[in-house]
Order: sequence, then C-alpha cells, then structure tokens
Amino acid sequence: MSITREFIKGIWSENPVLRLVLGLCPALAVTTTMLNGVAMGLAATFVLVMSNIVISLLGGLIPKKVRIPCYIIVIASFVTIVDLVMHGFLYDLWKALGLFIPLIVVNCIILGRAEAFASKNKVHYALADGLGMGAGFTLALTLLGAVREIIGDGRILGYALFGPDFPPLLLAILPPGAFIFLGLFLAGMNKIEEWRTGGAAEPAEADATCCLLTDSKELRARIAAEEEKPPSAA
Amino acid sequence: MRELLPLVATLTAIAATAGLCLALVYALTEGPIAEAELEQMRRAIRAVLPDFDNSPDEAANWIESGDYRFFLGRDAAGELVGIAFSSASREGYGGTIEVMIGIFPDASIHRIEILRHLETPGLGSKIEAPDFRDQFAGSSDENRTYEVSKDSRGAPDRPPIDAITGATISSRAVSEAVRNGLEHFRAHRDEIAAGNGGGR
Repeated sequence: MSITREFIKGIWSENPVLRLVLGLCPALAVTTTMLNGVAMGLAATFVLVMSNIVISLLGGLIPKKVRIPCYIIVIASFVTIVDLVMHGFLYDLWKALGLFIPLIVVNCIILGRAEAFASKNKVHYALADGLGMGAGFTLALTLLGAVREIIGDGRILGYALFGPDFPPLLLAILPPGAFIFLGLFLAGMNKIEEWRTGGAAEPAEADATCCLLTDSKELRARIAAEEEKPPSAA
Repeated sequence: MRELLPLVATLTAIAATAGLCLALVYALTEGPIAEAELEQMRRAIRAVLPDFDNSPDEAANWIESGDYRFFLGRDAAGELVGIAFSSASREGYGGTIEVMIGIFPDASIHRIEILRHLETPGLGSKIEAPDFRDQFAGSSDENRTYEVSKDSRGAPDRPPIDAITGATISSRAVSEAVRNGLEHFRAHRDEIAAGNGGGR
C-alpha cells in the first residue's frame, strides 16, 4: 500500500465515474458545459477530501450501528460549508451550480469512500484516496462537459468554435445526450483497459459493492466468491 | 438501554460539533453573502438603466407599487431618465425566472438583465445571452406584447422576439415577466414617474 498508488487508482483503474460507475447523478446532470463539470468536480473533491480525513480520524470512535448517520452529518456539514462559501465569494459560479451543490450530500462516491476506505485506513491514505478519487471524478466530468459543450453548443468554455453556421446537435446537452456520451466514454474506457491488460480486466459495470452499506459478512463473502469464479457460460 | 448510551452520545457529540462549525462558517459568510446579493442587484440596475447620475438603489430613489419596486434613475439636473424594476415569471423550465428591466420614461425598454433562473445550463440558460435579451429593447409601441414569434397569432409583433432554439419555454417565461412588468408600469405610470423619490 503506497500513497501514490492510492492516489493514482482514483484517476484511472478505479475512476469513480468511468470504472466504478458511481456518482452518476451529478455526472449526468451538470455536465452541459465544461466549466460546470470542472466546478462540480472541484466542489465534490473538497467535500470528499475533508470527509475522508475527518472520518478516518474518527474511525475507531464511531460505533458501527450509528456510523452511517455520523458519516452523513460530517458530509452534509462540509457540503453546507462549500455552499455558503461559494455563495459569498464565488457568486456567479454559485448561481450556475446552486441546484447541484446540496446534492453532493447524497453523492454515492463520498459515502462510498467513507465506508469502504476512509473508515478503515490511516489518515494520509484517506487523504490520498480522496484526492485521487476527486481528481478522477473531476477529470471525468470535465471531459464529459467539454464533449457535450462542443457538440451540443459549438463552444468550449463559452467561446464559439465553428462560426455562426455550425448547427449544434442539441441532443448532446439535453439529458439523453448525457447518457449517450457517458455510455461511449465507458465503452472506450473498457476497450482501453482490455488492450492494456490483454483482456484480463473486467468491464466497468454499475456495481454497488463499493457503496455496500451492509455489515453482512455473508454477503461480502458471497460477492468475493462470485468475483473469483471463472466466468460461466451464461 | 445501556447499549444505546454510547450510540446516543456519539451521535450527539458529532452533531453538536458539526452544528458549531456550521454556525461559525455561517457567521463568517453572512456578510459577504448579503454583499454579493446586493452587488448583483446594483450591477443589474446599473446595466439596464440609461446613463444616470444618482443612486437608484438608495431608498430615497425607489418607489414601491404593487409587487414591484421601481428604481428611478435621474440625470444631473434631477430629470427622470430611466426606471429599473425586477419582474418574475413562474413559467420557466426550471422554476422562477427573475428579470431586471430598464425602461425609458416613455415605457420603451432600454435593456433587460436576467437576475435569477434555474434553466438548463447551456440551453435555457441562453436567456442570459445579449443576442436574446437585446430583442426586447427599442419600441415604445403600446401594443407590443413581447410574445415569442411562435405564439403570436395573426400579425406578428414588431419587431418579433425569436425564441431560443430548444428553449421556447424559457424564452416564453422571460417575455411573460417583461410583459407583466410593463403592463403594471403602464397602468401606474404617472404615480411611479412622479415618484416620492423627489430629485436627488
């Protein structure tokens, strides 16, 4: 276990959006422009890093039975802090993202990392994990936002790219476009992983294991067993 | 009962600490937030009024009528040169759209500015673009309804308002806000223009 590895894994091999397929609500909803993607990513990263640190520090003190409410209180507090600070000091950005900031509370990645990683690891690993996951999330949202803005609006960061005659493909910035482009991204990511590992990597699929909020040893064992099983003929 | 105690104690401690931190941050950001809101209002008033020399956002220079607050802009001689007011429509795609409207005393529009909206970013949010907003400026024609050209049956408005492609609902809501605001102004024009603001 090394700090660098905990950081890198969030960007590529365990990218929250493109590999773990978590946190799709903000990934789909706010990525109509590149700037929105960057800002949402950074706001979520801040919350993720801070909650990872606090939860890692509190790790041993929180009784198992009330850990979820405790995590949620910690996460919600940091989200409220982000909301207030942005409202006061980054007014225009706050106006653009206002609707989505409170939604960071229920972002699956943050609770998922708190449960699956921060609560079980030392604080510097939790910090690296939060930064890496946040960077991966930001990167995915930025790319998705950039592609949708270019295709759906003919602009990048608000600057027109193709002159006035460019007919934008409106669908790209409408909700269906988000699904379509995310799907293409996932497919591309899977293909690259396949090449990289010579076919050994499992394709990304919506998998709630990471977010699994259960203590059931039996269930965990079953999932582990299933993962080890060779792919059976379906 | 006994096993509940540590659970309750932990939750209480964490909630109390969180509450304390939030109170602190709230106290620190309260001022800047109020300032940012006010600044946004001032910026909009400045942007929509023709050249003026007083401070319309001071209480002495505005007058309330109906649900609206009219900010009166006067030139150096104390002459009324323009009026700014905000008007809202609930018919936006994402909820209420609030528009700051700047008019000349003859009720023709100088400029409009979008104060608040929750429209789809990159789509409905284009109501903020000058290309769309500038269409409202100009004519003092009493009969101009500011309807988007899709909606005007028979003779289209002169000049027409072109809705934003793919965002007709947002465009329609802006024109509704403008129309309602102007209607109110026209109905109470004399009392507003007379204004208790009284010079500078």
